[in-house]
Amino acid sequence: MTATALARFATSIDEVQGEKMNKAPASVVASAQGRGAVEIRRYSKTMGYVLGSDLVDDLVTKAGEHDEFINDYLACRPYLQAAVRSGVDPLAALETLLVVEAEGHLAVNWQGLAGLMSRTPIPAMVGEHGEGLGRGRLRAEAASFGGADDDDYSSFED
Amino acid sequence: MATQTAGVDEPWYTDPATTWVPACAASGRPFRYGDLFVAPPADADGQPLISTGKTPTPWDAVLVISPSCDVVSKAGADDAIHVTRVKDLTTQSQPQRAAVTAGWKLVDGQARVAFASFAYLPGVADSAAHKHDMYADFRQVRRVRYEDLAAAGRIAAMEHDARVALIRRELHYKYRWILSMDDVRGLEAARISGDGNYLGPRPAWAAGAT
Repeated sequence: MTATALARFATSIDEVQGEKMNKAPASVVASAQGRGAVEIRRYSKTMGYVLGSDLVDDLVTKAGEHDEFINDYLACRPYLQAAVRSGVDPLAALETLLVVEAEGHLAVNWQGLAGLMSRTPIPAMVGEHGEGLGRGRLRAEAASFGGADDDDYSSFED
Repeated sequence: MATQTAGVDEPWYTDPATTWVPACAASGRPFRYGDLFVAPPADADGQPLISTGKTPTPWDAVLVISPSCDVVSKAGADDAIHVTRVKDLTTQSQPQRAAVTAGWKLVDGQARVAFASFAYLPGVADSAAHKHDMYADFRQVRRVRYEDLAAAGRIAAMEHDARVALIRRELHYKYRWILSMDDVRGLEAARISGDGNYLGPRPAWAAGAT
């Protein structure tokens, strides 16, 4: 992500929270601590934050901001945080997830999300409805079966 | 024997950039499980492939889910191939789109399988009409004539590793099992390695038959 794009990202968050991050970064960090925020640092400098869900929800509510980017970002953020917590560099994760479109607008790169998810371990899953899942091992035994099945199925009558 | 989870599970899907065979290489790939096709107009019984919603619309695309053997070497013009409907993912809500893309979601801080009946399919870079993200709906399966499917045209051939991921996802849909990617790949490797009539390039992890 370019510095401009990152600044745009930070600005988007600023717009949501209704205050300039560069005026009160400490308060943002303090507010976010323990609420799932991930600080993005480069060369010992704070570049931005991936904010926890409840905090972002608060900010969105306060600002009354529901533009498309924010909604896209909110939907993707739990996965972004999962990637970061699994060891992906936060800035690299953001670079993967976000793209700069025409006129400098930031947008979610959905295939970037898919790429990120393909490299992110999933916290132990349960089933679609919260049920436990059967995890099994199936090990293949190498065996030559002399080619594909070549039985004549057409000789069978309906 | 079933084993207990170690606390994490593997991602559901492979890198979207390597899901589809580039168009320039697809001609050397016979039709297989996981390949994406334009939906033929009707199924093997002559029933149109049309959605049953308020505004009936023709199916856009289908994914082959018949075993590769049935598609590669044995299919005659009138033989039926099982396909599952493929839909546009970009029309769904953002949370739904994100959950389908990942294959899981967080509910009260707990990771759950998301939309187990669906499999995420990334857009096809080489296709003007199918660059967008899609998903296969395993609940909507039809049988189509091989000749009709071939005539409709293949949009993209699936890469071997993505096929392994798709098999794993379909196994979960059908039986609610979670198998490791290594296990599924190992079974595929054993199958392919033992197949002296295998057509097209083999996966790097499946040596040729001896």
